[in-house]
Amino acid sequence: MGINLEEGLQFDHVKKTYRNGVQAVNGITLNIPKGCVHAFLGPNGAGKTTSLKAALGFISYEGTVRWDGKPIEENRKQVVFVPEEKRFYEHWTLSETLKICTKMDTRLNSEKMQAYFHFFELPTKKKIHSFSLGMKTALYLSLAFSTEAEYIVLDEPTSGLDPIKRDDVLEIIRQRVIEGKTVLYTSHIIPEVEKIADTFSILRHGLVVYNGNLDGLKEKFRVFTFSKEAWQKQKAPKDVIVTVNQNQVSVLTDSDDAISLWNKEKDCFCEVPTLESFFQLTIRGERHV
Amino acid sequence: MFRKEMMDIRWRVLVFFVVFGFLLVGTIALRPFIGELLGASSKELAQLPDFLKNIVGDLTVLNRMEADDEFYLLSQWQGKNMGQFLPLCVLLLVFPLFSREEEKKTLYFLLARFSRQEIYWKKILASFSAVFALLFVFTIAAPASMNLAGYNVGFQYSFLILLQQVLASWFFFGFFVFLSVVFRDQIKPVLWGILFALALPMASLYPPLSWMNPYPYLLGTSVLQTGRIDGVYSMGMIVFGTALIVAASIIFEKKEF
Repeated sequence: MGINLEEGLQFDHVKKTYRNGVQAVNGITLNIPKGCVHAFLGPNGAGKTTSLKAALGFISYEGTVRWDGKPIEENRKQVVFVPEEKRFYEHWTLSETLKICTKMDTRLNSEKMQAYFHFFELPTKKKIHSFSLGMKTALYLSLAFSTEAEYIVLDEPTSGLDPIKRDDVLEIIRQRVIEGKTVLYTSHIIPEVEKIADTFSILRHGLVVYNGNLDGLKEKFRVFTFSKEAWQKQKAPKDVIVTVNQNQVSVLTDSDDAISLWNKEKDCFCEVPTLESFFQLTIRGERHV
Repeated sequence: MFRKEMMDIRWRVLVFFVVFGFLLVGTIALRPFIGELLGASSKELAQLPDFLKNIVGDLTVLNRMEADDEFYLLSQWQGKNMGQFLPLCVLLLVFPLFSREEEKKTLYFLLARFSRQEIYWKKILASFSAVFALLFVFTIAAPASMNLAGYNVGFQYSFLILLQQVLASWFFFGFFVFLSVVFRDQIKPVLWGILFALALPMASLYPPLSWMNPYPYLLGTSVLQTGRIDGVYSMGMIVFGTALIVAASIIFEKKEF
């Protein structure tokens, strides 16, 4: 079955080079279907936030990004965004925020917003400049969750939240997906992504180095761990990612030949990768092709 | 969004209302003393040698200010106490318009919800409405208060000077908006704005550039001298102000955040 380009979010050869010459995004092509949580994973400077900014029209870029087949300018009402830096109008109180924002953004449901403020235990009378980072994150999330927008774009949406609230937020995100919304998500916290993402992309140096889901990853990939001596005896196989630690060598591969060969090998240990180990190996490792 | 912009500038507008209120009361209250002072001064100045009279300038202005309540009000209120603060007033209302949103990263909140054109023009509308409201209220309040205080003052010239002050404010407004869009922090628009406001009269000291000083126009000098609006300068203010506003909108449309 082909991909329906009129639905979902499509990145098509998106490139972004800043004026100082830094190539932040180096040709991303991705199709994110509707009704799922898609996570962008990657180290700092991998291009996650730049990709989101391109998709939201905050920066110019080469290539195209389409939301349900339309550019962001034609579909902005269907998108809400929680930025990486959760700074808000600091001289407002929460009650002022409620009044002004519901007038400004007709998509916001005042009752829902109040319910989320209550849920996150945000003080209504205090000025926002006195809020902690977690409270500001909660405020932004309340604004994002109080609309019926089809796309919820979240850049580090749990920063500053305590573990209980973080779990609650993940639960709310899952609930929104069950209701048919699409969530685009960036995070450094891999167990969190593992918990809620249906699909994910790992970015490195502005490129997508893996795109898929966790089940597919566990089905296709294996991690073999060798001692350094044992690894030196191996023929250099193709299409593997090799990470050398102090005393051992970890090799990530989806090559059937390599997997069947090393499964018979006694000098190595085979395991199914977790998202954490897969991420570490993909980012730290060196690809042998 | 208009309401949000009004919320953002409400305290600054309120401060200007209070400051202008005090200045207006002072201007009216000082009328009898200034009249006496000018009367005494003009008699003493008339006895000066000619070369000193040339330095002091036109003594008929002092005589007119002593005798004519309306001339006193126009020259001391719109032509001095309120008029000279207008560029500063516009600068303080306008400099954070875009630069603060960018510096504090709150612009993402707006950019995620509205088109850039919508953000830009609503901010322009809200802030210029505040400038206009200040000008309009205090232009009417001055002759009205003078009449309440027992003087006989007309409104006609006040409105002519108001028109010039609105257009001059539009020119300064355009330049300060431009600075607010171009810079990514709040300090530079203020510094460049002050520099600009001071540089214009300084440049005009060089005779071929004498037209660059907008202050005689802003303070209504030509209205006081001729009783008419300076049409050419008015056109210049409209054209330059509008060009700066349009240029800033193009930069805002293309800027990366």
